[in-house]
Formats: sequence, C-alpha cells, structure tokens
Amino acid sequence: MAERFDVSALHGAGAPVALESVRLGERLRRASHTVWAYPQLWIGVLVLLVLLVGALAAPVIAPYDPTGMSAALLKPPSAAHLFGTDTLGRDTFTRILYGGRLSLLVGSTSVLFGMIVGVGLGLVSGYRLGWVDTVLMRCVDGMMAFPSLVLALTVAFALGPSLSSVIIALAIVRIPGFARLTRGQALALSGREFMAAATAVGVGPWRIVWRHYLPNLVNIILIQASIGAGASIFAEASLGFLGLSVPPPAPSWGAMLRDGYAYLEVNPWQSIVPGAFIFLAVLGFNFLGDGLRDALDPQQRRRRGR
Amino acid sequence: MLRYILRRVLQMVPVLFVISIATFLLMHVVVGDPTLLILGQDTSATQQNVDRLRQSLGLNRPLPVQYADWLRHVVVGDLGRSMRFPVSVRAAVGQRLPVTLELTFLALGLAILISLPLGVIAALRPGSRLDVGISAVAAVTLSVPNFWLGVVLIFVFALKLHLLPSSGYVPFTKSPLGNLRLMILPTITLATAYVGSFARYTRSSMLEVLDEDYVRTARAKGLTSGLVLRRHALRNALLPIVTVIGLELAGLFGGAVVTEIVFSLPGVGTLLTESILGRDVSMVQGIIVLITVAVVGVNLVADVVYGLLDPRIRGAYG
Repeated sequence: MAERFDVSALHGAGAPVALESVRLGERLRRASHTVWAYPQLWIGVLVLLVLLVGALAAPVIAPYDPTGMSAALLKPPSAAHLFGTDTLGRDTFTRILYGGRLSLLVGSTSVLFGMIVGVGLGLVSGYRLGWVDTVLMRCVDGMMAFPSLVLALTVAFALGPSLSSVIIALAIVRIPGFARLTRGQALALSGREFMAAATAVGVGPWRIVWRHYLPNLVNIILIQASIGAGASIFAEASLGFLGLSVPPPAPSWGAMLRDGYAYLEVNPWQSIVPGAFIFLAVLGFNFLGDGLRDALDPQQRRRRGR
Repeated sequence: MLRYILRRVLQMVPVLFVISIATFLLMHVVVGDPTLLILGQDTSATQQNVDRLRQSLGLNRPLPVQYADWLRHVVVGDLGRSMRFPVSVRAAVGQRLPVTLELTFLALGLAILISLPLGVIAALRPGSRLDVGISAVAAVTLSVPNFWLGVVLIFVFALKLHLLPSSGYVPFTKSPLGNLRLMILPTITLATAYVGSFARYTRSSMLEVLDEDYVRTARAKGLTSGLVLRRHALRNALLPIVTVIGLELAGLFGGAVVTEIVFSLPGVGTLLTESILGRDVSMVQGIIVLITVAVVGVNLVADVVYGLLDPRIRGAYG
C-alpha cells in the first residue's frame, strides 16, 4: 500500500494509468485467493448473503402478512408455519424475514452515520492536533465511559421510541470507536515519508486528507465497520428485548424474543428462533470483520500466527 | 510513581466534566420539561400547578445555573430524588448495587479463569489445530447474544432438566448456597462473551512476548520451557490484560443490565430499565452518573496497577 502512495505523491495526479490497472488485476487475483484461504471471511459473507436475500425478498418469500393475526396462537412449527406462530397468531417465519430488514437496516445505517462522523472527527483530530485534538479526544473519552448499551438506552429514551431514534442512538454509540481508530492511524501516517513529500510539493490539506490519509485508512475502517455493524445489530436486539426499539407491531428480533420468553415453557420456538437469527447476523458481521482483518492486515496475520 | 498517578487523576477531570455536561443536557434538553412527565397523566393540572412545580424544582432558572446547582449536589454525592417513588436515588441504587456487583465480579472471575489458560495454550502452538479450535470458539462466543444464551440456559437447565432455578434472588447473607445456585446461570450468561474477548487478548499478548529477546535469552541460557513460561513470558504477557479488563468493565455492566432482566435479578440494571420505561428522569440521570464515574474510576485503578507492575510505563509517562 505504501509504495502506491509514494508514487502518486511524486507524480501528482498523473500517476501512470497502466501501472494502476495492473495492480487492480493483481489485487483481484489475490483477493480471490484470500477468500478461500480465510474460512471466517467466506462463512461470514455466506451467512450475511442468506440473511440479506431473505430480508430483501421478504414480500416474495413470506407466506403471510407480518402483522396479520390469526386464531392459531403459539403453534409449534408445522408445514403451514415453518417456525410456528406467536402469541397473537402471527407467522413467526414471516416476522423473522421482516425483522431481518429492520436488523440489517439499523445495523448498516447506524454504522454508516457513525463512521462518517467518527472518521471525520478522527481525521480532524489527527491532522490538526493541538487544542482541537485535546478537546475532541476528551469528548471521545467521555463517551467511552458510557457502557455502549447504556448510552444507546439513554439516547433512545431521550429521543422517544421510533426507527430514526434507534438509528441515531446506535450511530452515536459507534462514533468514539471510529474517531479513536482514525486518529491513531492518521497520527501514525503523518510521520511517514510520503506525507512529508506531499506536504513539501505543496499539496493542500483537503487533498492530503482525501488522497493520502483516506486511501490508507480504508482497510482498517472497513474492518471496524463490519464489526461495528454486528455490534449495532446486537444493540438493536438488546433494545428490542428491553422494549425500547421500534414500537410494535413492527417485527424486531429482540422484541420477538422478549414476547416469546414469557411463553418459554409453552412454546420455546418463539424465543429461541429469533435469538438464533440475532446470533447468526452478529456472527456474520464478526466473521466478515475478522476475515477481512486476516486478509488485509498482514501484520495482524503474523501476530495471529498464520 | 506519585507523579504518574497524579497525572492520570488530572486527566480524569476533563473527562468527568464532559460526562456531567452530556448527562445533564441529555436529560434536560432532549427529554424536555420534567413537569410534563410528572403531571403528564393528570389532566386537572392547571397552568398554575405547572408553574408552582417548575418553581419548586428550580426549572425556571437559566440552564447554566441549573447545571451548576445540579453538579454541586452530585459532587457531594446527592443525586436527587426519584420522580416515581418517595426514595432518594442514592438509597435506591445502594439497595440494588450488591446484586449487580456480585454478578459482575462472578462473571469477570469466571471469564478470566477460563480465558487465560485458553489464550496461553493457543499462543504456545500458533497455527496448530488446538489454536484454530480455540480461536473458533472465541469467535463464536463473541457473537452469542447474552440474553438469548440466558433464555436457552433457562430452557435447558431450569425447564427441561430441573437442575437449577430459572430466576429470582436471595441475598448471600441470608442463604449463601441458595444465592450461589441462583447466580450460576446469570454468571455463565454474562461471562461467555468475555471468555472469547479475553482469550484473544491473552493469545496475542502472549505471542508478542514469546517473540521478545528476553524470552530467547532465557531459553538460550538453558532454562526449562516451563520456567521460561512462568517466570518470563506469562508475567509480561498478563500485564496488558490488566488494562483490557479495566476497559471491558463498561461493556460488562451493559451486559449485566440485560442479564439481570432475563433472570429477574433486582440489580441496578433492572432499576435502570424500569426507570427508563417509567420515565423517571432523575433516577436515570443519577444511575448514569454513578455508572460512568465508576467506569472512569476503575480505568484509573487499572492504569495505576499497570504502572505499579510495569516500571516501563511509569518511565514513559511519569
């Protein structure tokens, strides 16, 4: 990675095109190799793909209406109801599919917002340094002192129960992690020769950040985003379990688990199945993040003994 | 050493300041007027009543004055009174705290007890089948939602096998055995995620230390591998774990909130959830202040312990 930016720093915007495209081909070839070399990576991708397809195609696959009640209360799994029915006679398989939409939506958007703000703050902090850095980092320290679930609970409580407040709450939770990571990496990069070279040839601060910091940070931010998405899905499920996620009757895996928990003895499926899907979604993102780390960060790989 | 501790204490001040402002603003600005919460259901509340309540709560003063007043009370340990029950926040939390502390420390102890050996074993043969297996177990336990694990454990051990009670709480002082029996499932529920996390840290810390020159020197001078491990490698590898455990404590508390709800344990987490659902603003505010101060305090202790154990840190920051 470093060589690539040494080149662009010296040649400015007109880096040799051919060189770039050869690298891209080489990188793709290597990428296809690494996917098979890292089981965590492809297990993660596979699990997430299945969940994503289920969530996107919910209106096509789902046999029932996600909020449509029936007289068949708390039925065990059968041909008509793959995962049985809940306390209001709603089809659990249908609600799992629609609940996946909520989980994946909340997981991805909260990470996206948290990433934009966190990476922005981290870059400003690591690039400007001085009092800006001090103030920002003390704020990040302060946020880190909140257990993330308690922070999410508090913000969700303050904003009232709705989809947007859950997303905002979980995005805020993700900010300090991204900010601290980005700042640390930016600090490490600023000591490198190609940064000094870029500054010496008169590259402006925006261009430095855009062309030299960000491309070098993409890998590590990607890893953090994947693990963060898993954490966000887990947090949304926790909020749902505590009754503070999106208001009913919208299907949320966490809320389904809580509703089914009251009838654990009568019909364990209603709490165990939604929980299993939360587990799968979190596992998918964690494995994807771990796999990406193994594949993209050779230093980490060496430390992990591969 | 004294300079190091002093420095760390001074670093805490701005962090605590940020926390106090965030908590205050979150509750007063975003939640809005607490009088509406208190008088909310009461439709007979006239404007006069509202004004009188605002007056008595001091809500008609400028925000910075309210903040200064609130902070002055918080600093001396006065967290105000519950808006739902005739108790002070401090008394309510104090009554629930032993449950949460017991759960947290049991889970922390169990997690350390299992994860450290696993991490060390994995690091001794990196890349071996045992290592891959331990890493896989760690990766999976990190993804298990604690509340789901709790539900599954209750289903298997309480409802199917009838081995353990599913929920409830007896103070340790009243019945030590009954207390421990009730705490087994909650402890496993809360500890599981940290087994994976601690085992990973131990493994990578151990691998790093095994790569150090002083370990090679110890081997070269002919010490047995057991002695090298105990005297030279393990002691140094465990140092960073102290900090990690301190940092994970915040998350551990978050996990305790959910675990307490699953097992109906009357701890601080249950109190927090009940207060949030009952919109008891002063209680929520008080609990959050206590939790965050505790987290900052524990991190300070962890850093000081680290400094005491490792003179290199003291040198670098003293």
